[in-house]
Amino acid sequence: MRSGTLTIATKRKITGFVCVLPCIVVLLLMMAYPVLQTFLFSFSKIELPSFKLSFNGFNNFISAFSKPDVQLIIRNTIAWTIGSTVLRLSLGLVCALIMNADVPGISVLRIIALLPWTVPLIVSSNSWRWMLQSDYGVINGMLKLMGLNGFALNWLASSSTALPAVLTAATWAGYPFVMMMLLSAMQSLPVELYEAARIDGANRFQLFRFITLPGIKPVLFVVLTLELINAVNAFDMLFVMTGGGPGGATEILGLFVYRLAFVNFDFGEASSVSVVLIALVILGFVLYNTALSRSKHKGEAA
Amino acid sequence: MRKSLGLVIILAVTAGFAVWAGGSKEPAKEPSAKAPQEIVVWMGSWWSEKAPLITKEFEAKYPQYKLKIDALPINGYVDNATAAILAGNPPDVLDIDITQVASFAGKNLLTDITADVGSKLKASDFIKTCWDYSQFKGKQYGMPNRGTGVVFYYNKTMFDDAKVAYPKDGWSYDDLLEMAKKITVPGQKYGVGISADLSDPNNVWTSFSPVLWWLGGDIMNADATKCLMDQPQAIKAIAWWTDLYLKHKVVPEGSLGYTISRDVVPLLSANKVAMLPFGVSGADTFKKVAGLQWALVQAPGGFNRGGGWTYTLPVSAKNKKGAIDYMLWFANPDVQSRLCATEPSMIAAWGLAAPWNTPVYQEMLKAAKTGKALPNTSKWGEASPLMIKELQKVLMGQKTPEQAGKDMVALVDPILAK
Repeated sequence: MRSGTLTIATKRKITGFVCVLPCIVVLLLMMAYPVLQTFLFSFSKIELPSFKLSFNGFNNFISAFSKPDVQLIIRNTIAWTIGSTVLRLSLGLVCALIMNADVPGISVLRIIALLPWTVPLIVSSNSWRWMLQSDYGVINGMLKLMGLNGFALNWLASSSTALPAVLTAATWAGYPFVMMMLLSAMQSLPVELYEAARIDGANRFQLFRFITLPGIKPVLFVVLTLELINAVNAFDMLFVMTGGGPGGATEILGLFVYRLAFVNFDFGEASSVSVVLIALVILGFVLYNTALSRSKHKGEAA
Repeated sequence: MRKSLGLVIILAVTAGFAVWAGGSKEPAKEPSAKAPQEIVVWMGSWWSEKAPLITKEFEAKYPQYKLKIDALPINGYVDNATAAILAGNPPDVLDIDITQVASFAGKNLLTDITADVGSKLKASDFIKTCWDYSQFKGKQYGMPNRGTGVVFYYNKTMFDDAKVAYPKDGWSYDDLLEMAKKITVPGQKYGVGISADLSDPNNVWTSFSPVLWWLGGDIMNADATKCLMDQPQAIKAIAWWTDLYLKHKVVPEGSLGYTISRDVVPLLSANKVAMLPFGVSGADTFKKVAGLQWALVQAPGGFNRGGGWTYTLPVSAKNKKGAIDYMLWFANPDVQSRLCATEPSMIAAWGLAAPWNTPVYQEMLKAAKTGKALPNTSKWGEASPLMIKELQKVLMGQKTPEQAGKDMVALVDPILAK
């Protein structure tokens, strides 16, 4: 149906576009502009304080990634990303399964399980640092009291235990988010499926394997993506607990970017590393989307 | 009609937001001459008690100004300052550690105040280290407000329990090691505290550099164009210092992750560490600990890390004249003696009023006057963490002192040459 020179459908489209326009402006200013600026910086020599740019080709990338400690930083980043994601997902999934039980007092338990997520990261980072202090920290104190002196290690001051120690703290701080997301997905699954499966003789593992897991798969993939992005961008806990030490044993790309920008004042090199990080995240997202579409098509064909 | 009104409102909000977010491109204007002109000063949080007094006295002397002091926590202080200057929204006066003057000035973030401030003051009125290091390449970039030295604090109870005589002025690092060995009970208490954590690099140098200087070495050459950490004296110093941890085990096990202020000071207060190197903040802290028996002595070997803080004028500060007037007002012994939250930079201020004229602080003045500073180069911020990481690797047994010294030179020399 026509009204004047514009169709009703066109008018609806324009109205919809105008309604989302504020959001688009915010996104452009808060996200697209900084990303574009970072991209420009990564290919420029930057004069401070005016930020006058002159084209520098790939020199920033070569300079940043040829620093002697870069290989260690990349290894640390991979270890951190995989470790953090696997641990948070595993603990979050196990807790979600527990919290999904229909027993008296479960809501209280859910609130308690959420508490680590409500503590500000700086507070929890400092608390964990004090607890892990090798000389007089609570954890070593308890281990010594129980006669387990051999397990009272120099947690944050040894290159072999520093990263696992911070991973433990990061898992504690981050699992509640995973738990809540997966718990919500589990609670939306139809109860009748479980009842029918039980009647057919399915045990607990089979219920989990053939009903719960496929049912929460879409949410699991979303959480996995978010956790991977979060892990690649990690900064706060590592900065507070170890500062990237000892000897660079816990320095990951996020801390490396900070060092380049705010210690070395080299915003070109810092931006080049950031651009590489963004590219990796986008690549990961594209691969994940492709894998998800393929698995959807497989499911539909079956 | 309602749909059209809704569309107009949405368009107006969007346009208004875009204009606000785009910001103004007009250059900063000097404040109007009629209303009191605001001067914004950033300082460390240790100034928070004195800030109201400073404001009151300054505004009484200069009624045309309104002073706004932001006393900020040290965590993130430098990052916030850098970001503010680069964003064109800095304070008018920025208080920074003298070790950062070269980095900031080298990146053109500070204004040369030689003509407005430097030429109007006498260098001999100030503690030498903090005056010299408020300059960079012959130009004055800071008006020092704090001149520090480092002394050794010791826990008298721990010395008494171990039946060890207290340290005296003129003692050596060999004396320190002997005392530390007698006091240390592994796993329970330690003779001396050191710092090896990257989060406060200056604490590490406070701990390590006097050993290096005592053994005749230095971090860099005089014009900071070459790192000297591969020289025999430097390697000997790395070995001596790291042996406190590796061989003699007279320092806490967690020292790799300790800073003096955050970790070692509480250990001395808790009778777990017998000695530590620190500035006047140690005295301020220890006198508040009930039952703690403590004293201080000049650093062994005749060397301590001198330092200080200095008021600077960031480029693009809005009220440059006000900032200069503030700095010149603070360059007064009487003002400093009453209003400094920490050690005054002017020597005469130390004799005018308590606490500076008390015996404990007179010892601090002795240390400040003889303090030696770290290298004055704009590359120090980049070089320092790399060298500390090498020290950490020796402490973890991953490298020998020789390897670490050679690697420090290999890492730092290219930076100095840039």
